[in-house]
Amino acid sequence: MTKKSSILKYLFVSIAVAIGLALSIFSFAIPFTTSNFNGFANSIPLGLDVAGGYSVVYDIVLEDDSKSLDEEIDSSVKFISNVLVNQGYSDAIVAKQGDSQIRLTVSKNNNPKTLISTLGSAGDIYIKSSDTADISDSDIVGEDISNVYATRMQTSETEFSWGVIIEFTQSSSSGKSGAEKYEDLTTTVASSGNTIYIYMDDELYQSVGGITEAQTNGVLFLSGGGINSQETANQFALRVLVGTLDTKLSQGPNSVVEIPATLGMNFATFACVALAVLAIIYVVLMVVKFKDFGWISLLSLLIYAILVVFFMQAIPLVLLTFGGFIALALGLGILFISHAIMFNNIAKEYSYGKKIHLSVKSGYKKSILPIVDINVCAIIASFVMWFLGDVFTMSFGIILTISCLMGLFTTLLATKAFMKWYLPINSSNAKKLGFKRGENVNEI
Amino acid sequence: MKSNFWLRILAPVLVLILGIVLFFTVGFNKSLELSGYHLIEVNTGNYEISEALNKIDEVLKDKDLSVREYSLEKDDYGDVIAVKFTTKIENTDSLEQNIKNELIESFGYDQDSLLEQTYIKVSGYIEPQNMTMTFAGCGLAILVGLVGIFVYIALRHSVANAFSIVLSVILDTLLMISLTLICRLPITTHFGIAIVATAIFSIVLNTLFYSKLVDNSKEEALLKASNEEVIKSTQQNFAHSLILITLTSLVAIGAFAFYNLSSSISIALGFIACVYTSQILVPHLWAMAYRRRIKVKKDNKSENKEEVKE
Repeated sequence: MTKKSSILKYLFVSIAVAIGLALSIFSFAIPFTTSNFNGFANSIPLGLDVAGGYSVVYDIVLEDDSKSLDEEIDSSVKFISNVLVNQGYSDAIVAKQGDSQIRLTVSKNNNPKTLISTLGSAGDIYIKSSDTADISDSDIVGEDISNVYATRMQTSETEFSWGVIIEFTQSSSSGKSGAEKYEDLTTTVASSGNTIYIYMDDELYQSVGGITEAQTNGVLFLSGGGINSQETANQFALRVLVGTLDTKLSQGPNSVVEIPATLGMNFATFACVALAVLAIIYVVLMVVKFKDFGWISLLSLLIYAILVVFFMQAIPLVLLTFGGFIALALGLGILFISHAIMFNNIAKEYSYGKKIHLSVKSGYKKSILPIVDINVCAIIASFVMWFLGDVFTMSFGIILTISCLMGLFTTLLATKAFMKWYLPINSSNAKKLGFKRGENVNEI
Repeated sequence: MKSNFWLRILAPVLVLILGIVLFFTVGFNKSLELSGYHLIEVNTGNYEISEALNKIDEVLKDKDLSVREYSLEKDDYGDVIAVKFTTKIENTDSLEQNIKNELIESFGYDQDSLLEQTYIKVSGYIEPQNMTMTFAGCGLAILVGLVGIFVYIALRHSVANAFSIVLSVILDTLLMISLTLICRLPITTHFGIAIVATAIFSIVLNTLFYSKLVDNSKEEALLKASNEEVIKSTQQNFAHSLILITLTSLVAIGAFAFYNLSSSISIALGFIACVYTSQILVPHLWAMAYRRRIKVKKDNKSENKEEVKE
């Protein structure tokens, strides 16, 4: 490799990094289209604690007076919390308020206002063989349904569409199970009408035609009509699930409030500045100790930052909360440690009398295992936290996993390549790398 | 060496005992979200926020409310000041109704207007978030993670090193929780982060230390050295990096304390505990426990050397 090609490679990488940084930070209109590019960093979903959200109070009405309001509210709080987590509102907080209210606090991701109105409009579901609002014993009701969820299914040879799967109960303590009632219902409509009707309270929501035989699998797939996208499918699933509760949620006037970040105003900006300061300290320390290799670590750090930000917005499970910021700080620390191990080992090899290029080679080789050890251990722990933790530890776990993986990539591959390109530029002046060797040590 | 060891172990043992005593007597100092609270939301109407705040304070001042937190919200009709509080008064319904009436009067809202009634909202008691499962999940995550790390380190280095790391991580996490209890730092919904961040920092520090230790023990000059000497030399090599890692991490984490985040202070305490145990305590425990194995190694090596000479 010649000095010229090394410089060209550095130039090319620097331009790529500059473009990457611009794509990460800036939002702009895409030329010749009507679309906007939002910037990677701006597309990362922010949690309730970092960016605030909405708070709404629902009045609770008990539909069955024989039951205890207190117990029903408690079970509704648990049920709604679980449903919201399953629908991707992982940082939503549902709490009992006063004697007969529920307070929902939700972040600004995934159309929170639609969620709020959907919960307030949830009603009793009836699946019937006739298109009248009259209720009969053969109708399938909320308690016959075990689960409802949005899914994408193949509806013809070439088409896939969003819809909702309604799973019916397989057993019942009183009378027929949901699956048995569904089989009876489809047997009835198969012989006349071929259509089942889905009512939400006393309003016809949708009809499903073309039923020519009894359905014995206890599962109904609903698609088309009002359900035509992931969002509408999720809304319907939510309405049905909340409708199966023995309590009804109703929203009073002026009951929605926009709340600030629970950690304080402008926390996200402050946290970003804190991370930037940490990165600057890290680069300054590296440049002071390892001179030119310090600048190489800056280039690696920038690539690392772009990759981490890119994957944070690309992976749908990521939610940037306080835990995420702590994970970013730790990830940066681990990257710093990894670079320090590598450069220290190279400096040590040089102090033994090896030439710079040999020091780089053997110092790098000796650093691989310690660097892998640290990162693998951190990845094992953070990966487990991602699966077993709550919303904050999940955010911590997934972001630390991304950080460590990107750290491994940049340290072991990018930094290695940059050091290799550096050698044709300087392979004899150790002062430019801050390396020292005893006067008595002879060069090997 | 033995007396030194007992001195080293004294501080963490005292902290742990004190932590356990506090846990079973006074418990954690829970934040409002974890202990339950009342909430009043007041639309500021035509008043400036500072003016509205004074009016709210005026109404609340003689009401025997113990904890108050203010935040600025927004509803469809403008700025809203939210006040969270706790109280020991039993009949909170009438207390809240009194507060609402006084605020309506103070802000000049119409009692008979359905809309203006919603400008002052009293919540009733908001039940605390149940964090038991969260903390149990964090504990379980750390334990499962430690099993994975134990297997990895045992395969890569030795069971002794793996055991030391696991012991250190558990000790650090418990020390962080004890220090939080002792300092009476409020436990918030973010405390789980403090637990897992301490565990991860401890894992990183210990893995790094034992990697260096393994490296050092292979050095020519330390081949005949005892465990204690290898540890001493590793600590000397590691001191620089350790100070830098700890200081920079503390700078980053400590910065969050500006936002009055008690969890970030817990994390900082956890990091200090990590440095103590990973440097001053557990390596010496390792040296004591595995002294014999090194001796055998040394004997084997001297035998090998004699064989080579012959």
